[in-house]
Amino acid sequence: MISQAILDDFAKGIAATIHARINKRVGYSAKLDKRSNRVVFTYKANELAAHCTIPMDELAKANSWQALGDSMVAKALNHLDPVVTFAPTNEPEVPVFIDQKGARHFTLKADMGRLGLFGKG
Amino acid sequence: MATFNKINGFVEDLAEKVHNLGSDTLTIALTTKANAPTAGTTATLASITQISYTNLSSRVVTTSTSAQTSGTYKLVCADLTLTASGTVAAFAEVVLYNDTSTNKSLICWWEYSTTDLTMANTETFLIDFDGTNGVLQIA
Repeated sequence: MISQAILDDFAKGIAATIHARINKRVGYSAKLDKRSNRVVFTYKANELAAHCTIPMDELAKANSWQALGDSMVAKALNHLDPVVTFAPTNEPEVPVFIDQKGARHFTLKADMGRLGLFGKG
Repeated sequence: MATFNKINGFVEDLAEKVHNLGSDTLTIALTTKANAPTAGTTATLASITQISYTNLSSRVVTTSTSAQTSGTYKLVCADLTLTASGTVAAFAEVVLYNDTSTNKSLICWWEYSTTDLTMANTETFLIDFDGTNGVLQIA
């Protein structure tokens, strides 16, 4: 299950990327709507707010947060429909965090190795 | 969670006194997706094509604990953050090897992504080892 904290980081990264691209601070949020099992992305620049919703099961397939982030930035800047389908990767559940200066911060969550004859000793 | 991939030769190396995981210096090597290690045919650092580490911070891993409890050995290492001080060559595979061993024997690797990533100045890559279960367990 994707947590709200992860979505908040994701939204901050998108806002920072947009800021870096157009030199303008914008509002961007990603809110978990548990009742409808979806995430609502909201982009606000000026008076108008644009909304986009993605079902949770579709997001769960989107295991490249970098690609999804790029897609959401493109949607915000070009008013394009988001693309959630892309080649799967081994990117972990930790999204790429983009800081206020636009620098990316990657995380590899290293699974442990289990060697030997567990349970046979 | 990136899957742990065992280097097959590692278990033989363990049995033949190549490694002292409690005191040897473990280090990270990076390769591209195209040069990813293979479990059966890559066993030493010389057998993989590493990227250039120009503009990248130290790749030395700090071992936190190396001990057994009730017959199960666990190696725990501290998380390592690689920081770019300029553009760093593209990579996708994160390889753990023993820098102290004579042939710099490989232990395992994780694939971050099926496509290579390139780090720019000030960007970071955190290798988040499992603090509870460790890097690996042997039973």
